[in-house]
Amino acid sequence: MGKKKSVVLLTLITIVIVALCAMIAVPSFDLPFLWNGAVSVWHPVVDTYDFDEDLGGGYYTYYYPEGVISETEYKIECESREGDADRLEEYQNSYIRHGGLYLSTDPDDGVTEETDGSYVVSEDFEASFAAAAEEIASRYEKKGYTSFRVSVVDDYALRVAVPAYDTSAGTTLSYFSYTGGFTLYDGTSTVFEEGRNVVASDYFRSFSPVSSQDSYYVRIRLTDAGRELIRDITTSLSSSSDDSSSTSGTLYFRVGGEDVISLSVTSTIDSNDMYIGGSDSSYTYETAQTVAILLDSAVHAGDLGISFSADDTRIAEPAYGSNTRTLLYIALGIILLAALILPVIFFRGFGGACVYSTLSYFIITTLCFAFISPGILEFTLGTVLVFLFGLLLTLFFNAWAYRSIKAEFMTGKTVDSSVKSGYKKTLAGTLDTYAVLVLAAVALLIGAAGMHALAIQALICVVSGAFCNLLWTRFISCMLLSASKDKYKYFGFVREDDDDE
Amino acid sequence: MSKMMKVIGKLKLWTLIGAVLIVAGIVIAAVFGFHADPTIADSRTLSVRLDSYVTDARTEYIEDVCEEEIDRAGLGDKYSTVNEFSGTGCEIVYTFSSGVSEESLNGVKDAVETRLSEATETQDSVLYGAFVYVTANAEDVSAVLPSGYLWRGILAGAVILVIEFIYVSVRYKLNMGVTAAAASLAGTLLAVALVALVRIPVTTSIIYVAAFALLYTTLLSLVIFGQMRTNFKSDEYKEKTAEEAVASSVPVKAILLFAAATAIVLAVTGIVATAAVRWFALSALVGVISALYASLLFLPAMYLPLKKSSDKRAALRARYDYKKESRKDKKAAAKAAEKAAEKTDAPASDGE
Repeated sequence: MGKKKSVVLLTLITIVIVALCAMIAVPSFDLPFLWNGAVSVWHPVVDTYDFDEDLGGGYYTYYYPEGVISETEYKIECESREGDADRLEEYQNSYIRHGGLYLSTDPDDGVTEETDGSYVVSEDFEASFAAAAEEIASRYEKKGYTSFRVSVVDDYALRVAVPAYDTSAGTTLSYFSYTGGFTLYDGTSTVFEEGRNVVASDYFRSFSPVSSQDSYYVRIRLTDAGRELIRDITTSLSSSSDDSSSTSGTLYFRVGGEDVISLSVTSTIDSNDMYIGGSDSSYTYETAQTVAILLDSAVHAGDLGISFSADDTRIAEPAYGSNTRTLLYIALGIILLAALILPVIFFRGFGGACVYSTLSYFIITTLCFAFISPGILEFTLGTVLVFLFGLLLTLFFNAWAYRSIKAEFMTGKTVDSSVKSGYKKTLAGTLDTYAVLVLAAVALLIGAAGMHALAIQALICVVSGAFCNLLWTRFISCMLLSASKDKYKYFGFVREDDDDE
Repeated sequence: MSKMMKVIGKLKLWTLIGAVLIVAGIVIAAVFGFHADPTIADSRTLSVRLDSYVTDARTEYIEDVCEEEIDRAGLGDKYSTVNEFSGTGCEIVYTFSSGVSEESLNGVKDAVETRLSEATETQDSVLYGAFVYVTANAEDVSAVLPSGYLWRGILAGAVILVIEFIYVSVRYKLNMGVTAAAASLAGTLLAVALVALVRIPVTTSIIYVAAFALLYTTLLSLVIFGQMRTNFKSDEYKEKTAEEAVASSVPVKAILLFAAATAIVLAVTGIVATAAVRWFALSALVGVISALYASLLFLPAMYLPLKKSSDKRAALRARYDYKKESRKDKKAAAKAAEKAAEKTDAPASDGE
């Protein structure tokens, strides 16, 4: 390649790299102009990641069983009765304290029972609570969060925490508190309900989320009995909807009396598979997944004999402070800076090619993390680790190539010949290493939740590293070498004079 | 090289040390579990709910009161968060280890409650007129791991080992494939065992550290075997003994430099970032140390007897071929001699 061509091409590449780096890393600021007619804020790419709970915080709430209230609620109720001593005393007598909770003494609530003048928690309530806590925990386990927490608070309440990246966190926190039985309601009456001889799982085989293009659905797989049931119900509904009744054309899938799916019925449904989607764009894959997990749980676990009320949702900052992410970016910035400077010091002109290579690796990985399947690639501490691993790998193989070129040069070869044979000697080892690491990253896809995301991220990092080492650095080095005046200086080589000359 | 010569002859020692550490880690993990980070462990909490308009001054005041009372009781919170409600209000939560007694936490709760309720009734206070509620709770963790998280992670690790074994066996040698897979397994198990042994607080992210240790050991193994493959082809190395050839083919300096760079990178990340990242970086550092142990000490020591054995077999094969060849030669020579004798005998008989 000619000198002029090399300079022009390098300039263009530099401009693109600088622009992309700015797009990725320049911190947020208010744009000094209107964007689509409105004031807008600039957000760098690194701000758009879906962070897990460690780095991005999340949401949490409490589930209180019927007849159990928090100390805060108890105090608020007492304060509201302060003006009336009798009502206050009556209220206070209707609860007993248990840790930070208050348990109802009303026999109708079934939480406590009176024994020898004192109240103790009933065995039935304890058994129901334990079963419900286990079922709710398994629902969250199935969601596949990279980080979440379900804990039992003071023996008889639950605290659930989910990461902020879940776009349906509000729905999830609300829906997963439903522990009643599964029913079908046609707007006027319950048309399907579990009974002594009616088991929901005999009708409904499974529920799962599916995506098609940009739409998301809950797939319901029915047994033959279920198909018959749905056919009869939808036949009845579609015929009544012809009578232009306002509600009769809708079939409601309910858990514990709460609507989970509202299906508008215009014709008879006669199939073993049903696909039910949301009515608006806010119905995401996460929403479909939450609905599917809840229905599957309700159909297979049945009525758990206890009902919960979800408290207000709290927006939680990361456990170790809201500045966790900022400090992490600062640390990564320092490391990236060192990765750019050190090769220039040690490898001279070839270090320049390493700079382009490192920046290209940074750009490819950070952009891929942000734009490949958002919602799947959660940014976790594992992401940081594979990013750094890939970065070090790129630097290592560049250093290895440089060492090999230098070794060839020391045997008396010309610079061009040394570059050629130096790269040739490291090629097999580099290829083998990257091939095994790519295969290993593919194997990691077997992992669940965060491991699955980590596998995709590892694949991105390793493939980017391989591209930078095997093609990009050599290409840039070739251009820099063409543009440089002194090839020896470019590599920092010193040719010892031949005594014979 | 001389140091490496000493290292490669001590397979039993490296195996014993590795096995002892791994078994000790497994025992500790089985008996006591991993040292769970407070975010995924049983805990006690002190929560202050501000059910009024939130200002920085109000939250700072509440935090000051809480921290003073917590310090006075000598509890020392593990971490604290200020959490917002979607409407008005916020909840400040202090999380303690489950070892903190209910009495001492209730003592702090009562003291905080008294001081804050006084503040809500004092006109000059920033909390004047606000509604503040203090509660103390105990939390027992019910679930933190997604379903299939562990067994699918272990399965993925096993598949990686099989891939490594097959690839290295095909591209390099069978004994190298066996050694590489064994070293990677040792590096990974050692990393997890050491994290359990040295009681580093872990979250569910420990599985990332295990995956990192596996990839790191795999990388180092491939670098070492890549170098060996190149060296063993040269005439210079054919003259050397198996010990000399293996010892001089391990790129110790390059691997140590790479590990040092990784350690510095992890140290910078850990030092600059917050506690959650710090403990994770430390766990990853343990992964690097384990990978170094597995690839610089265990791998060459394990490979040496395998190489000796394969060299011996190769030599035997070569000798066998030689013998076979010589027998053939002898037979051919005997046949040729017989034919020659027949030829020389034939004219004589014709002449008779």
